[in-house]
Amino acid sequence: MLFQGIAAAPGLALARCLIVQPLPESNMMAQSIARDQVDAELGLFAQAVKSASAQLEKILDRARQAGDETKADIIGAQAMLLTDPLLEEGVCEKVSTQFFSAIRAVKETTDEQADILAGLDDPYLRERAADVKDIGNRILAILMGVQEIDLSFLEVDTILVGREITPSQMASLDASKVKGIVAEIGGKTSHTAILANNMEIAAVLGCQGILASIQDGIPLLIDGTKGTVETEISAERNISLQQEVKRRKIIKESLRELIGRPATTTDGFTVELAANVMDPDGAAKADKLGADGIGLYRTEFLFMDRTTAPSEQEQYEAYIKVVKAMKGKPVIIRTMDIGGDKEIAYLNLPKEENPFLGYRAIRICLQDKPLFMTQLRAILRAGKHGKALVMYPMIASLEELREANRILQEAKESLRAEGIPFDENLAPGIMVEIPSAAVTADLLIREAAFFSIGSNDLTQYTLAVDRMNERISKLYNHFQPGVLRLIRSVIETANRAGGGKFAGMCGEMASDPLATLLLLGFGMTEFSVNPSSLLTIKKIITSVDMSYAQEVAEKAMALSTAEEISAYLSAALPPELRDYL
Amino acid sequence: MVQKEILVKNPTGLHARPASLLVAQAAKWKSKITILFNNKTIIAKSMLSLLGGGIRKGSQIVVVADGEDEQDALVAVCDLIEQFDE
Repeated sequence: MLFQGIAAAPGLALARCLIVQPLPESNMMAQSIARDQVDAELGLFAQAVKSASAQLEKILDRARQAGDETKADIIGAQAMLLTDPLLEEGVCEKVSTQFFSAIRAVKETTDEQADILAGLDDPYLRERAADVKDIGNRILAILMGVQEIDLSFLEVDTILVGREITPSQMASLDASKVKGIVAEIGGKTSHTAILANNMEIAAVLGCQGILASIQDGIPLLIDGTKGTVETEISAERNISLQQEVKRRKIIKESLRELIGRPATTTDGFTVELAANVMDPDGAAKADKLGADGIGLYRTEFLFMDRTTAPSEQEQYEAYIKVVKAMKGKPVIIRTMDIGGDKEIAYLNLPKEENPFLGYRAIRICLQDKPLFMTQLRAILRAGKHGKALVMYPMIASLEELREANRILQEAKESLRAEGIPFDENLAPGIMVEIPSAAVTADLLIREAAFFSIGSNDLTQYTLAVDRMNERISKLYNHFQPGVLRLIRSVIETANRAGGGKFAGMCGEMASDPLATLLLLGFGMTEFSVNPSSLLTIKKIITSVDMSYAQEVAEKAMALSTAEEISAYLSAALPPELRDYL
Repeated sequence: MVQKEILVKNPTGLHARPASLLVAQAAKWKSKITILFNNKTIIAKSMLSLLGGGIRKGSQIVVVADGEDEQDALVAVCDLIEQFDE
């Protein structure tokens, strides 16, 4: 059986699963005590906090010895929460005046505190709510005498599966034995996902229904890149999968030697190989992988899952973190790309028949000028701390680009008038993802500093194929000649414009190893890829020469169908590179 | 009881790392240390209280120390908050 969850940390893992059980909730509630038991219960609580402290201390020591700052910071913050006066007061009050058992008092106090943080309008604090619950569970496990499985000493390779895998479980586990994480709840921005990425453990979160269909100890195959979990693996398939996992691991490790080397072809032609990110952690990771910049910083995540739009200050703080993480390398900040298919309560977006053709992205920004101004001001200010570029999504015509640029000027003037420092030279570029923009690239490039081809939407709009519609998903193919002709002409137009103008690509196609030769041959000078694909694409670029890429592009464009083109591109890839597909 | 009004200048307010440093500093003193902000009383020795307080850049806060070492405690805590940069 195949389960689909959220791809939270890349990697392929095959191992037996270990189900991590949550504490039995039913035993926690409705527990009252007699008046004369109050002191005894408070004693139990104090003792449990002490033991929990000692556990965290041990984990903290191990994290520090391993030089793992992220882990040490998270556990350090939890240790502080454990001895928090509000927690202690809450528990004591519930035990001594309401006669709750220590267990019930801890459960209710930590739930209350977590709810307060979860209700605040701040993503950082919402994630802290998970930490509060986490320490609550640690104390509860001790009070309930539940022997927690010691995840730090596992005998064999393991994939942990649970309703939730908590940050403290992540921080304590034995990273040499835990090959993967599967949880029914959690998403890409949870602490669990961040830790899994840092620890290079594959993770699939938000994988609903998985617990009901597996037993402890059965083998699982998880693909953290696709977000899938496979159960019921036959012995035969298990053997071939094991070889596949081993092979991929060797390949992955060999790629690390490319970190720090430029993306230069064998005949000396260098392209910018950048990464797509959505937050500062992603940028830090991209920098570690040696990305030449950020080719797409998706800012819409700042706008989602909240009740009001983020303030200029909040946006500015998020943007400077990303800009600083890249240490002067260019960061292309895309203004929010939100459409009718996403629920954003405070924007009052109506339900639309056809959200992908509707009120979205720059169309919202040009109508809701205060929203757009706020974001542009934050981006302009962040540009002072490194090198930032701004990019408008969903531009269909020159009028829209002009209007956006006009508001950018206004934003500059307002900052100037207020004496707030900003980057005077911040260059505006556009996403080319609507066919009309691709066809009129020659008009647009006069007033844009750069293009970034959004291959996903460009493919969907050019072919009139809704990529979310499963019945027609086979028709969606970025190797269709109609799509490729547009892409080639956009790249050539930008290159002809001169003056440092360029065309890059930040869509999935840039991360597709099969497309690398073709795009190089078209003359594309900036590739912005998913961090997990960065080294693979670099491997291909550094293994071929430009004249060969141009020859491949010519030949591919002489073919008539997507099928012929993919088959040709696959065959054109030098044999030693086919392993990287 | 002694108190001092200060302006929070660091971009992240009393968040994350600054919050941990503040709790650690406040915990060194015997005095009760609170922060008055937005009609709320925030307990400086409590991470939960600080995080829930919503203090941001530009917030005008009043730090209050009450106890045997209140004078030194107030100076130390205020100095720390004013030192926060990032």
